[in-house]
Formats: sequence, C-alpha cells, structure tokens
Amino acid sequence: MKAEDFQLSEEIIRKEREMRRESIKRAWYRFSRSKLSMTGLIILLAIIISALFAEYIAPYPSHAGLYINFRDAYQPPSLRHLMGTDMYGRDVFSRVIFGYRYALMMVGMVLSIVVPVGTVLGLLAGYYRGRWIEHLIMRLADIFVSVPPLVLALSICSILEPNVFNAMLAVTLMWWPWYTRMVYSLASSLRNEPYVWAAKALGVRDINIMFRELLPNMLGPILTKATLDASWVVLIGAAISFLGLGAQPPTPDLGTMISEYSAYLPQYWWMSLGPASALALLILAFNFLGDGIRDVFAGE
Amino acid sequence: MSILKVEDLKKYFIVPQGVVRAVDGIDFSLEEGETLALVGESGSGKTTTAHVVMGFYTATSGSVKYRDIEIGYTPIEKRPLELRKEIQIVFQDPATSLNPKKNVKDIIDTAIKIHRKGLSSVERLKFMLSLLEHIGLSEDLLFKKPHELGGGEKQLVALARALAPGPRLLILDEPTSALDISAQARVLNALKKIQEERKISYLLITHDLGVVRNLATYVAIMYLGKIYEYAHVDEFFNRPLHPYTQMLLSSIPTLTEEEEKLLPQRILSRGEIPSPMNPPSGCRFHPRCPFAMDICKKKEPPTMIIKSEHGSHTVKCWLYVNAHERNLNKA
Amino acid sequence: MSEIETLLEVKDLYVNYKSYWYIYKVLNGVSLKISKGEKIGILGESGAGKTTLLKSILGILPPQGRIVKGDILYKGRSLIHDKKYLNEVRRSSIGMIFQDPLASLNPVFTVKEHLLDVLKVVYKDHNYKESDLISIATELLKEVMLPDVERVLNSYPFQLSGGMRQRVVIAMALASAKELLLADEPTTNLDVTIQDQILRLIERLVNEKNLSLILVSHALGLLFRMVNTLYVMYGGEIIEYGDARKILKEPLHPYTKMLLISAPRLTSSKIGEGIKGNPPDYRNPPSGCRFHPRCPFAMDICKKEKPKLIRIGPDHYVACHLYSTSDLEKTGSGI
Repeated sequence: MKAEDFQLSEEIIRKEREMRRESIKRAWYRFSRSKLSMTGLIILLAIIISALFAEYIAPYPSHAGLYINFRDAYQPPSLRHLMGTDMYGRDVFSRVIFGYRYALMMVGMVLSIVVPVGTVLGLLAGYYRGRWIEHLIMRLADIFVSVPPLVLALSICSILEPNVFNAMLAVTLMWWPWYTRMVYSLASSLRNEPYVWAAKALGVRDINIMFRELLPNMLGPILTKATLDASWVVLIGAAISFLGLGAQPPTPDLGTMISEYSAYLPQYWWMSLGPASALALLILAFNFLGDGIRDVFAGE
Repeated sequence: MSILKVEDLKKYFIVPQGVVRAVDGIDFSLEEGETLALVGESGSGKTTTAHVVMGFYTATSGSVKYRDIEIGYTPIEKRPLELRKEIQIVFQDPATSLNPKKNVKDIIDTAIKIHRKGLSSVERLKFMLSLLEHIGLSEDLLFKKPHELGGGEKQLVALARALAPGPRLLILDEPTSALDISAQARVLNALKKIQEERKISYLLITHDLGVVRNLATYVAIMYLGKIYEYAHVDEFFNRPLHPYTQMLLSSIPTLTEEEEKLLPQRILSRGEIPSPMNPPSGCRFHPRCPFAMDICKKKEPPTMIIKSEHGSHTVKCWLYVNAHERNLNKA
Repeated sequence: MSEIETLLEVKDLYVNYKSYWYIYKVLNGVSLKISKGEKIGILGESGAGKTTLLKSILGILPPQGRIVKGDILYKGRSLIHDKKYLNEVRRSSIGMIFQDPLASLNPVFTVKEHLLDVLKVVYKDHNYKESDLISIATELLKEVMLPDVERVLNSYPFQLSGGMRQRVVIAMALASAKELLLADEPTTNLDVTIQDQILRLIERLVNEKNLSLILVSHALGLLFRMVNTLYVMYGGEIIEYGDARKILKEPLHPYTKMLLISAPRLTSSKIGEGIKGNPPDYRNPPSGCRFHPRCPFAMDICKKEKPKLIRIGPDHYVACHLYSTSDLEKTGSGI
C-alpha cells in the first residue's frame, strides 16, 4: 500500500469512528433525557448485578436452596431479615436475589431465541410476499397464535417434565409468532420503498436487502417490543411456576416462591410480599426501559 | 443500433374494478448519448414505461430491447448483473430513495462493491471520492445520513449511487420535481455535465417542460398510455403540433416576454385527464380538445410523420390528416 | 401606497419554534403590508419561513411556535393581542387555501359536511337553517366551477380528482374570505394543465370579489403571473421586495439574482449553477446577513451586521450590504 493510500484509509477509519461515537452520544442523550427510562435502566442494572453476584450480595447465600432452621422460621421483616423469613427459616430477601437469576435467565434465553428467529422468519415472509414461503411461515405462525399462550405453555409443561428448562421452551414456542407477525408487516410495507428498488436495480442480493436495507429500519420497533416483552416473559414464567409446572421447590424461582408462600397468607404476608414486589419492580424496570428505547429510535 | 428500442409496448394492470391500461401501445427509440423525455401528466403512463424498462414490472405485450436484447419480460430479480450494471435509475424523491439508516459512504459503497469487484477498500474509497467530486459534492458529506443533507445533495448522492456501476442508460424518474429551484439547477447541471463527458443515454420522465428544454434531445408527449407527439426538442418548442401539447405549453406560467412569444396562441386548459381504466374512444384526448371533430370520437388517429429539419416529427392527430383521407377513413 | 387603506400589516415579526432542547429562530423581523385589492406574492424556497408567516397571520402556529416580538395589525387593530378580534377576522374577513388538498380535507367527512362546518362558524350570528347553509354551499361550489354540484356535495374527498379537491378547498376558503385570501402553494401537487385552471379560477375570483391576495410559492412563473408586488424571503427574512416585474427584470439581492437564473427557461437550455450550500440552520442561524455563507459577494460586514431594507428605486427595496454603500454602480451588473 502506498503511503498516501495508507493515510487516506487511516483518515477515513478515524472519521468513521468519530461519527459512530457521535451518533452513540446522541442516542444516549435522547435516552437519558427521560428520567423514567434512566430510572428503569438503573433499577435493571442493579438487579442484573445483584443476580450475577448473588453469592456475594445475598446476606444468606445458603438459604437459596434446601436449608432448614426452624428456630428462625416465620420471622417478620427486620434489619436482619429485610423481607422476613419463611416456614423453614430461610431469609426471603436472599432467596429473592437468587430468584432474579432465574427470572433474568428466562428472559435472556427466551428473547435470545425468540427475537432473532421471529425476526428472520418475519423478514423472509414479508420480503417474499406472495410466494410459498410466506404462506408456510405465516400459516404456521397463525397456528401458534390461535392457541391461547398460557394454555400452550401449560400443555407443553405438563406433557414434558415440569422444570425451568421446559418452561422456557414453552414460552419460546408461544412467543416467536408475535415477532414474525410484526416484522412481516413492517417488511411488507418497507419492501416497496424506493431505496429497496434502487438496491434491486444495483443487484444487491436478497439476503443483503433483507438484513442491510430492511432490518436497520425495523430495529426501533423490534427492540422496543423486546424490552416490553421481557416483562411479559417474566410474568408468564412466574405464572407457569406459580401453577407448579415450572421450577420446582426448593428452586428459588420468584413464581415458585409466590406459589409456595401464598399458602401462608394472610398471616405471614411478608413471605409472598417479598417475591411479589421484586417481580413488580423488575417488570416496571423493563417497561420504563422500553419507553426510553422507543425515544432513542423515534428521535432520529 | 439504438441503445433502447420500445415497440408496441403495453402494460395492463388487473385490479378488482377492471383493467388499467397504463401503457397502451407505445413505440420509441433512444440513441447512444442522447436524452429522450417522456412527458405527461400523472396517469399518462410515463412512470410505468420507465419501470418496465427497469424490470420493476414486466410487459403485457410488445417489446423492449436494450441493444437488441429483449428485456421487457425479464423482471429485475432475473436480470444478470451485467445488465443491471448497464441500466440504472434515479428516483423522484431522494428522501425515500436513500436508506435513512445508512450514511453516504455506505450507500455508494454498496454499488461499488457489487459492480467493481476486486477493488481494495482504499481503491473503492478513491473511486468514490472522484465520483463525488465529479458531480459536485463535498467529501464532508461522506459520513452524513440522508436526513442531514439538503434536498439537492440527497438527489446528487442518489445520482452518484446510480453512476457508480458505470451505466450506459440512466432512467431519470422526475429527478428534480421534489427539489427547490436552486437545488434543481445543481442537479440539472450535474446531469448535463455527466452526459457530455460519459455519453450516457438518459430516459427522462418528467412533467416539467422547463426541465425538458434543458436536458432533452427528443421529446415524446404521453397521454393516457399513448404517445401523441414525438419530435426533436428544438422542433418541439418551435412547432408544437398536437392540441394537447399546445395546451400543456400554454399552461406554463412564463417568466419573460420571449418565453411568452414562444408559446402557442393560448389554448385554455380544460377538463381533467380521465381514468386509464376506461379511456375515451377514438382519440383519447378528444373530450378536452378544442378542435375535436366527429371522427376524433370514433377512430383512433393514425401517426403522421411531418418533415422537419431535425429528423422525424410525428403527431397522432386527425387535424394533420388531410380532409380527403379523413373522409376515406370515415367511410 | 399608504394613502390607500391598509388592510393587513405585519410589523417586525419574530417567531421561534421550540423542539426538544433547541430553539429555532425562524422569522427574524419580517414586515409587510397589503392594501385593499392589492395582490402580493411571497417567494421563497422550502424552509424560508413562508408558511410560518401565513400561520402567524391566522394565529394557527403549532403549540411549539411562539411570536416573540412584533405585531400583526388588521385594519389597524392587533390580531395578536386581541383573540376575540382575531376570531372575528378569521370568521368573516380572511380565508386560506392550504397547500395539500388531500391533507386539508378530512377523509371521513363529505364535501357537504366540510362546507357546513365552515359555514356554521362564518354565519353563526345569522340563525340560518341548515337548508339555507346548504344553498350557500351549493353557490360556493358553483362559484369555483365545479360541475355536478349535487354529486360533489355528497362525495368524500378520495372520490374527487386532485383538481376538484383543490376547488373544494378554495370554496371553503371563499366562505370566509370577504376581504383577504391567503394561498399557500395552492397548486404544488397538481399537473400543469390543472394548475393553469386553478390559477385562472383564483385570478377570476379575486378580481370579481375585489379581494386582496397573499400568494405564497416557490414557483417563479406562477408568482409573476398572479401578483403585482413581490416579497422575496430567505432564511426567515424579507430580503427584497417591490414591483414584481421590476424584480424580475432587475433583481438586486444576490440570492434573487441567483434564483432567477437558476430557473429553467423554455427559451434556452442554459441555466445558472444553482446555489451551493443549504438553507440556514434555524437553531444557529448565521450572524449578520443570513445569506452570507452562500453568497459569492459576502464581505466582512455581512457577517457582522444584519442589513436593513433600503429603498433603491421607486417601489423597490433590498436588504443587502452591497447596496448600503454609496456606489451602486459596482453591483449594478453584478452577476
């Protein structure tokens, strides 16, 4: 490479990086402008960190699973036990922190499968509108959508062994069609934009049109939906566990805990209040965050 | 050999209410390095014609030949890369023809990557910079996104993208009608300069006769899917023959007295273009024509060739068929 | 001009828009005057502030927009400070033709409902019955030369062609335009033959009813055909005004000159180079003369001082430092 060429490419790489940094800065500005979305982000970060380092943060890490100490059972909230203790004398607060682990794992696993799969299928169906592939994908999606989600999840969990993994599988199976449908409708309108025709005229391959021309213009709605859906996943996961078809005791899953402890209502209210409010906090955080992400993309 | 030859091209669309005859049997040819302007009001079928040439639609019947290769029935997806390289398009509205999420560099780079394989990234960049300079864009724009550009700049970026593959035929679909006057002048000048230097042929789709005057070599006037007049641009403005052409010309608000003089004696515009779903019988312009005769309602006029110093001037109008022949035709 | 009754006067108007954390300083001291029966045109490219000016006059600025300084007088009384008077004027004196007929008509209402809505407000003191209003509506539609009025009355906007829709919009404007008609790019989306029909219609109506007209457009030919006095706007300021024919023949401001030679003519295939650069960024407008970054003749003073409108000849004013110095000759043959 000639020296001047080298200089030119260095220059361009530098400028490109500068521009990228600039646009990230602007996006962050749009996000951070809203106090609500900042609150959501901070709460979520706190939850993620405490879940990751639960062993070090939870005051009684050993209380997470099987642990019995009847002497400390049924204690109301106090400084020693922020959310009180349960019928086996376990610290509810510690269990809630471990519970976040399962909730976040569920969100992560489900969304990391559902969002890409649903998006790709939706892109294919939307871009190849009118071909057999559209009918195949969309009718399949219709079938999954036509079964009430909870019923589908419950039947999967009851056929298979009830555990955390199967609960995730069930939620994943019922969730992808919603992304497929959304992306499908976006793609089938965007594919008639002149810039897509220009790409076709240039000879850009279909796969590149889908992923480089169409997809970037859909990221806003997809990410916003994903964040808002995260809270739904948490909720549905908890519901499955609550009904006894997900994680089994003594797994410290939030839904399982609420289910277990609800038997002790109303006298030992603190037992279920802890995991229930933890659940509410997580859902709230995701919702606030979703609003912020929508603003980031809307502001462009 | 013409670069583009269209013969008896028809494009019908079937809609629930019936058949839309958007293009209903047109012929024209375009020579290397020249510009043919297809002029007409909305609903005249000019854009449909351009899109058939591009392969966005396929023809219903007739033929579209690019250098003697039939392309009218090959949709864009099925066209080989070598053919796509040859024919490029600039759309009307640069706000929608550039991907809003990409910056200028990525937009143009896409075109270069496909059609100039084997170039290193620095070579591509150099090529891009020389292209931008050629059409009068500053390299500061390279990392800007379309919404950060002015209308004229956007259209010039779209032009750069279309030029990057090295096309021989450029379709300009209302290239300046979304632009302000000062931006329009920049784009028109860039188009002229490029044609002079690269001898690219333009198929210009427009409704603006001012743009036609500045860019075109030949003009074809379309109305409801048919071409009613065709002439060299000088001949066209000096001697417009068809009543519709005259109506179009006299509808233009003029700036100077010289322009005023150029225009035909004022033929007041009246009526509106009917739906192409059920076009009027005979000559399709007859309901709006101040000179309409009986025969105009009944029979489609033949295409008459009138001699001129700039090659053939054709007009499709009964007024130019002599009375004797008209009577024969009636009988 | 002042001997004749002044109808509307805009005095040193400043309008800002607020969006997010930015303040867009759009109108920057705009003044204009229109007398009874006068026809004035406002020429400017997109983003010059033309529509903002019209909206300020009618008091229909969006909530982000604010008049920060200046006044708008109608027959000598302020429209800004007297909301009641503003409503009265809007109801019975001024009518406006909006740019996009499809956007200014509501797709779920028929033409009749649109017209009745307007007429009910215009004639709210008259105690008219609905049948009276319908007959007024019919008259209005006949006046704008719509054929088959009965059918049009009961049509929805999408059932009409572009030209017919614009005629309906004109009819709605006529209902309240007893003295002044404002038209914002009335023919932009129409074909040239239809544009001609609509312009002839507006011309006829204005003459017959002795209305004053403010026509806003970016199309040079259209303005020169329709108006006597022309105001040229750039970057939220009036940079030149005067007799339309005179401005066309001898434009003074560099912007006007460049604009005029940039317009394609039917007589020759040569046009100017256009104007490099983009319209000003209103968040941070150029200091001094807002045109200076794009002006080939920019001098030091242009960056520092905003030029005032000065009288160059009878009926011809320009705001440019090239003319504020003593020797006018050096710029006479400018471009």
